[in-house]
Amino acid sequence: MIVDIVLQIVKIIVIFAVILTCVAYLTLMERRCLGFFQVRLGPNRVGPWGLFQPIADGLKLFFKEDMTVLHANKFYFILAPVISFVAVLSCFAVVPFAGNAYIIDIPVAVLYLMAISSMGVYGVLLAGWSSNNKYSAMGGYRATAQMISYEIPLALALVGVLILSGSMSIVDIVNSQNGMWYIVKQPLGFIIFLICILAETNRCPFDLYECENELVAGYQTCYSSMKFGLFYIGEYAHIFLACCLITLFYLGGWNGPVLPALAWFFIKVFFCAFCFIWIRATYPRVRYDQLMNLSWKVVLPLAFLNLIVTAVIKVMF
Amino acid sequence: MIEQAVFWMLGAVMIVGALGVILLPNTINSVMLLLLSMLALAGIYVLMGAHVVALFQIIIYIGAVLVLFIYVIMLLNLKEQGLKLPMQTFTYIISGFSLGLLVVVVWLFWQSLWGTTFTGGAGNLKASATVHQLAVDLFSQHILIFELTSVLLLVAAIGAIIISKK
Repeated sequence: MIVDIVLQIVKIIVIFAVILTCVAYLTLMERRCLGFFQVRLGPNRVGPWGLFQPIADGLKLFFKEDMTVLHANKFYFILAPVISFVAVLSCFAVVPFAGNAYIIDIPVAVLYLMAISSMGVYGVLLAGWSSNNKYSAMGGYRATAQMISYEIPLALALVGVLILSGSMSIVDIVNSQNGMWYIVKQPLGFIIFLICILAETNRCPFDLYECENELVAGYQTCYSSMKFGLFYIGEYAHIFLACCLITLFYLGGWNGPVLPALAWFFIKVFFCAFCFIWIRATYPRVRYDQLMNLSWKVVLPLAFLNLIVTAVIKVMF
Repeated sequence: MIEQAVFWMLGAVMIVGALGVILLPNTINSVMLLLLSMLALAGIYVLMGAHVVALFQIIIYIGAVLVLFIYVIMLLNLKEQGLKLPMQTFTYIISGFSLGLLVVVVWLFWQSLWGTTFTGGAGNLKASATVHQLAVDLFSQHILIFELTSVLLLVAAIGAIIISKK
C-alpha cells in the first residue's frame, strides 16, 4: 500500500515536470514562430537558438517586485492566480500521454475534464473583481460571458465523440480510434471543437478579455511578478491541454506507425500547438458582438445538428 | 476509519460554509463560501461512490449557476450590507413560517436517523451508478419526470428571452 502511494506520487511529480517543461518551451516556440511569421528573428540570444530563454524569463519573474495594489481585496487578489493555475493542472490527472503513461484512467474522465476546467473561470472573474479597476473588471465580465457561451457547444461537440466510442474513459476513446481517427468521422464536430477551444483558451481571434488596445491587459492588468507568472503558466498550460485534447479526441492519440507511442503523441500535440500559433499570426481579432453571435447563433445550432446526425447514424448502422 | 474522518471533515466544511453564506455581510464572500459548501457536497458524493453525481454537481452548480451568481453580484457592484431587514408584520410572518419549517425538517430527520449507525456508507449504494446504468434508468423508469423537466426548462428559457426582449 505504502509502495503504491509512493509510486503514484513519483508518477505525479514526473508528469508534472514534463508538463511544465512543455509549457515553458511552448512559450519559446510561440515567440520564435511568431518571429518567423512576421519576418523577424524572435528571441535567439540566450543559449543556442534561444533555448534557455524560458529559464531566463522564469528567473526574471521571480526577481520582480511583487506588488498588491492598494484598494484590491487582498485575499481574492492572491487566490485568483492560484485557482487559474490549479484548475488547469488538475485536468492533466486524466490526460494519458501513451498507452500506460497516465496518472489515472477513470471511467468518467471526460466529465472530470469538463468539471475541473469549468472552475478556471473563477480565477479570471475574481482577478477582475478584486483588482478594483475598470480594465480588470471589463476583462473579467468579458471572460465569464465568453467562457460560459463556448463551454456549451464544446461539450455538445464532445458528445459526438462519446457516442461513437461508447465510453467516457480517454484511454478507451483513443483505443477505439485504432482504425480511423475521429477527425474523419466527425469533421463538423472537430471544427466546432477547435473554434470553442480557441475561445476557451483565450487565443487570438477570440482573445477579447485581454485585448491590449482596449483593456491594457484585461484581468491581469494589476498583477506583477510570480502572481502574473502563475496566470501566464496557467494560460499556456491551458493551450497545451487543448492540444492534448484535440490529439486524444480527434487525431487518434498515440496511435501511429513505426515511431513509439510517446513520440507520436508529442508530434501531434506540437503540430496542434503550431496550428494554434499559425492561427494567431493569421487572423485579426473579432468584435465582441460578433463573438457572441458566432457562439449562440452559428456554433451552437451546428453542434446540435452534429449531435443529432451522429446519434441517428450510430443507431441506424 | 479514514472514510469516517473524511466524512466528518467534509460535513464540518459544509456546515461552516453554509453558515457563512447567510451570516457574512460581503456578498462575494457569501458566494465563495457557497462554492466551498458545494465542493464539500461533491466530496461527500465521491465518498459514497456516486462519482457521476459528484461531477455533475460540480459542472452544474459550480461551473454554471454560481458563476452567474458572481457575475450578477459583480455587475450590480453591491456594497457591504448586514442583515438589516425592516421589521414589518410581513417579516414576522415569513420568519414564523421559516422557523416552523425548520422544526418540521429537524423533527423528520431526528425520527428517521435516530439510532442509525453510520457505517458502510459506500456499501449501501447499488453498484449501478455508472453512466450507462444512469442513462438507462433515466430514459426508462424516469422518462416522464425527465420530459416534464425539459418542458419546464424550455418554458423558463422562452420566458427569459421574452422578458429580455421587452
